[in-house]
Amino acid sequence: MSLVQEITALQQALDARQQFPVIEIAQPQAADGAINPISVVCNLTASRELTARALGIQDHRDFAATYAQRTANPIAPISVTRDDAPVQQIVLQGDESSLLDLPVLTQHALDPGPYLTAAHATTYDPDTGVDNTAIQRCWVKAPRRMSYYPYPASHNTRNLRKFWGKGEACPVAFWIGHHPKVLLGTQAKLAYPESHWSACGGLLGEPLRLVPSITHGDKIMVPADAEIVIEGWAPADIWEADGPFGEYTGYMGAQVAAPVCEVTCITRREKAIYHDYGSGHADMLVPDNMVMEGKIYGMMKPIAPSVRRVHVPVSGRRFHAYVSFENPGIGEVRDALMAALAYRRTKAIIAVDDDIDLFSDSDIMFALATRVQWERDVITASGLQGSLMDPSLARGAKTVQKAGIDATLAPSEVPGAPRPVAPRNSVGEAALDAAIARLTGLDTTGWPEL
Amino acid sequence: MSSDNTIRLRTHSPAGEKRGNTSWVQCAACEGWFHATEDIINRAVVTLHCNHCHTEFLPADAKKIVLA
Repeated sequence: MSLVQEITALQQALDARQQFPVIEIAQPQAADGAINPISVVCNLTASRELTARALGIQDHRDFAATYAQRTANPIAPISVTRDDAPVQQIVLQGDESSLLDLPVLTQHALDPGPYLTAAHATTYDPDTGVDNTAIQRCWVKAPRRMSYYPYPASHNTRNLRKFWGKGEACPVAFWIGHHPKVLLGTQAKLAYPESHWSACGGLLGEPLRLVPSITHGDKIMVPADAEIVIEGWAPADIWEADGPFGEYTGYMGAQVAAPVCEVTCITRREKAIYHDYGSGHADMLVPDNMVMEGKIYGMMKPIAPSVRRVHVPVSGRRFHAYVSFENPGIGEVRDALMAALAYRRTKAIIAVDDDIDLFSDSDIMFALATRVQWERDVITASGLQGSLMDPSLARGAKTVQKAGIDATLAPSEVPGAPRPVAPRNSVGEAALDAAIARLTGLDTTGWPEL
Repeated sequence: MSSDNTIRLRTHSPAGEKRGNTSWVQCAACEGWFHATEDIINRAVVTLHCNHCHTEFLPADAKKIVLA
């Protein structure tokens, strides 16, 4: 199977069928027809159910509370030697190292070339030595050169600017492939400067094993059990074009000016597997969004104890969040909405009662249709930080408008009495069970759909 | 960037009217269009890369630029 669009096309076709198996492609074919001996794995985290189970969570709907709790109880990493680090079984330095030896995908028709999509860029703050890790898209341009795009407001950009401010190149290491607990731990939304390694430990339930990088030593530690590490430097004040690139929004992100990494060393396991995230597909949205659920839960719960669950749906990219509440008091939902709107990634948050299935867009629409008066129940705020990749953004705007929607029913005002709202209509449980039993085993082929 | 290859869309947006936010560059070699941020275009010294024919050129050498 070709690395040029074919693997991503398979993901797109599976997304459309709502099927999310893990995909492994052995002996993928490069653009020039050459077979690469390194296998590609993608869709590793495309299923909420599989991703939750990889973290030891039986019900994916409970992910938010568990993630918030575990990352709030960090475990410090430990350091191991090179002999005990599978990721340094093979060390290729200088001209021996080549990005072209990796099975890097060109995912979308308008991408300008092959991109690393699961490369976790680790840099550090030169003032404190504290490291930061974040996924960054990387366009492979030459055997030892790639551009990469740290979002302007990101902590990796702050670190880069600090080195460049002193006229120095920024040291950086990109690592690829690890257990989903570590992948999701590195996406924990932390303060600056704050290392992600301890959050990974919190999810692992044990210290993350780190090893000094070959190029930067213990100034940049990398996960000893990763599959591949690319080390190098971002030379000061060097900018190159990067993109357009198929982004999480479902649109092509614009060409930007981006730093470059000059590669000094590539290390990997003897039988390394190359991990790819299908950008803009469930593969990348699901883990990102589940981490957001943990963040939003952690922001809302101290303010609103009635918060039960959070869902950041793939249908809303990263922009929407649904939150359920159990018998919230008057004002509690709006307090919680105000708190979570401050989170840079959110654009609209919809609050519902816990009779609404957060994992059904149809149920959310039902709540919006029957429980909202727009002027009363919608909080809007403008001039807030948000995604500049939102195609609806006003021309020239650097900030976004956000909305919190209270789609809960009015609360009870008399202890012990029902809420002063109409009850939902439905058939009795026994009648419904009987109806389901009648339909079970019936051949419904050809019956009209909605 | 030479001004004769650049069109700036008007920034005034009457209430309720939607105006797009994306700037486009036309490659002088293949005449294909690709979108780029105003930031990279305004830098003037960063080489743009046509994602259709892979020609690299400075903004001043674009066939046309439409800034939103």
